[in-house]
Amino acid sequence: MSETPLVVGIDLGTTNSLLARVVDGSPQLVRDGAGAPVALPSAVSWTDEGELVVGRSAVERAPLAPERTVLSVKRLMGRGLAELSPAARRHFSAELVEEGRQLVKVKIGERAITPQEISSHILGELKRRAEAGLGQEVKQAVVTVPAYFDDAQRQATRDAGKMAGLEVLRIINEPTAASLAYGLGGKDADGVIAVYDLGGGTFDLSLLRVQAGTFRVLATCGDTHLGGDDVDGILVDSALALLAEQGVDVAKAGPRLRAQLREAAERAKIALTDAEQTLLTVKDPTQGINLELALTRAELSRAIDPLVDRTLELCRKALADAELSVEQIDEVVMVGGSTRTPHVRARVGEFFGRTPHTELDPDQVVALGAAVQADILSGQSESDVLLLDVTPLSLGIETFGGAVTKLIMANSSIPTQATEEYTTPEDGVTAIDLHVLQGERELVEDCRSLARFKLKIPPMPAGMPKVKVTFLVDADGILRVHAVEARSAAEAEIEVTPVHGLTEDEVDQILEDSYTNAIADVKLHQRIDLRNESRTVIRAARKTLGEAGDGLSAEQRGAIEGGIEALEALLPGEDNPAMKTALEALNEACEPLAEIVLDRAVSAALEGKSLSEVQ
Amino acid sequence: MSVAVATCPSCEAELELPYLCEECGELLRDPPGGLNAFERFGLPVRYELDREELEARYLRLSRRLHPDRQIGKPAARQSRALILSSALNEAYSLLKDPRQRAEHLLVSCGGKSADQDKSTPAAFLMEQMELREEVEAAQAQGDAAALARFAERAQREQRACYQALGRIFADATFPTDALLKQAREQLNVLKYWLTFAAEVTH
Repeated sequence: MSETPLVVGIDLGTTNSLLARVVDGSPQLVRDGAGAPVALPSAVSWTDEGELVVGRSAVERAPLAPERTVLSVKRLMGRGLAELSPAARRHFSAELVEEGRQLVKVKIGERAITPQEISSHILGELKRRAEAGLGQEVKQAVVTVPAYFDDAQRQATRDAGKMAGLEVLRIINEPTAASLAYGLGGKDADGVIAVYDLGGGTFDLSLLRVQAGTFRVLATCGDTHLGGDDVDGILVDSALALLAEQGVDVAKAGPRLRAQLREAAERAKIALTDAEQTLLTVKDPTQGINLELALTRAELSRAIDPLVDRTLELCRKALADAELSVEQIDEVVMVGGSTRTPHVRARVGEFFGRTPHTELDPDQVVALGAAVQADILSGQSESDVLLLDVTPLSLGIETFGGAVTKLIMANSSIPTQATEEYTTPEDGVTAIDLHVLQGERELVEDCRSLARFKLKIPPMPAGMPKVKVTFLVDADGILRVHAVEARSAAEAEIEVTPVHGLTEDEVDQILEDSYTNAIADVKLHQRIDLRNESRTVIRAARKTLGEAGDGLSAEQRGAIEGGIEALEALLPGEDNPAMKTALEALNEACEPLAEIVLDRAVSAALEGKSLSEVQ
Repeated sequence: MSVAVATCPSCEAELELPYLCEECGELLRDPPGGLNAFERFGLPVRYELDREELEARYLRLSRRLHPDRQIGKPAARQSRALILSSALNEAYSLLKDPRQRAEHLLVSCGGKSADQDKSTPAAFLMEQMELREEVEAAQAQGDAAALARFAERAQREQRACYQALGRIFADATFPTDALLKQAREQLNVLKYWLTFAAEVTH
């Protein structure tokens, strides 16, 4: 056995998982004991005797033992049961349950199994087969995740590695891995790479800057409900229309026919990668079905166009986020099975004005890139590339009134940190609730709740406590929060253990809404801030008026009282500018009062002291 | 009079940055009281910034500090690198954006932040209110040409704010209280125009 420590790269995919390593400077899939590449369907099944089956054989068991087979466990990672959309649930024929914390589990017989554990069986199988082929133990790995995986999903991935006996040295984003695989980051390279990743169900676009041997992610954005499956759906609909014409009662057809049509549609789509035309055929005499739908490449292109349009819209957004124009893109890399379609390649090439890279197998490119990063981290590499990745979603904390103050913005290079100071709005508060959120929106209810924790502090007057909250995001994109009250040195620290994950709909919503609702959000956030500030000023004005109001002229007192009344009347309304003006007017009216208070405080302090002491 | 020169405790090379020996790669602690973003990059504490110099330093320091460079090193070094590397990234994001850089400079010079003192120049708020009424009228009428003019105006005003900030920070007497106050006012005005721009372009 070789003595060199071996670090491998793993693409733990929704449908397939692969393991690769770098040999003589170039990444390749590892071969198992039988000489076959270490790649397997991400499927796990249990026999009635409780025996574990992983990979291809598990897929074959799916129709025989659907309630004991799990086909795309990645969709469950870091999720709560309530968060799974009906569309996501449809992928699971085994029973899904939720036990203890809000974490979804799969019920196999009497056991409820976590997604982490199921994933660990896939990782374990990859590891075992690689070890058989290499004659060497595999202990460390770089594992890829979709760029949009949040904190909970990244943690779940790391935990799955641990359960499989693998130390996950680094979690990297899939598009980043893809660009590493193409070796576009040579020592003298300088340019911007766009990674266009269109899979079965998701789309991601990432922009990376390569400079001085450094890979830096500039921006990443995507849609978790956009992919080749949508095209299949369109083809299925055309097929159903044709069947209806033939007199088949489509409404009664049921899920079996839909599944058959979907499979046929996918076959036809793949055939059209090379052929100009094909037949979409489904023959099932038991249902009286004999379908032959002629399909040309041009027709397929028309079906794909709306999908490609949406991806190009997201490309424009990513370019805007990175403050780049399309002319500044030097290379385009294609990832994901759906980029095999010639029409997708053509339109993406047209958009960016250059031929996209398609030399590597789009299904392998992520694993190959993970191997490149693994090689760099092992310290054995000739290459001196440094990868600077970003956090895809903003992180923030709840402030008074349900607003979110963002501490770390989306697309910040990681690791990173941010600190913010808070105080209390009322006297005698003994515990401060900290609510950590992830998302792009301005309000708590629109962001994803990551964690809540309490910081106990000694009671103090309002405004006295100084609570310093520090966020630290490590190089894997995982968050730690630390809070300390400066006067009492009360401290609390947590590695955020998320109670549940974002639903797919919520992630979609985050992306979409951050655009459409940006303005309404900003206004509402402003209003909440204005109301909080107004209430504080009114409270202080009333209190001081009672204590020192005797020193004011009737006119001055009237101005303050009138100011309070005017501001209070505006508080329930939605007129931000008017509220702001009234607040400023009240502040101004209070100035003589503040002077009296200050004068009295100074005289009180001076009382009984000699002149020399004061000087 | 002699100036004390900090040296690396491990190789005794002269230290350019208090937390890192670029000679032997030793990672040290931040000095008590911490570093502002400019000091973290060894750059002069001023508004004017050479973007290329910042980029070059950022990449050079990242290669020293990033956790990927610490695999297999002792745990103490790894955790120090994590802290220093995240501080570097935080400082980088503060410096590269001119508005955040101005805010940070203000606070680093001992001034109140623009958030703590939200004052704006005299008559500015009245003007804003009148302007907003005009915008609402244009929006109600769907007057795209007028909205485009407002958007252009917002861009122009933002550029003017940045120029004003440049002048204030470049003043030989900076930081006097009066100049700090002016900088705060400009930053608050800038925020108004940013929000304004977002409202008219949506």
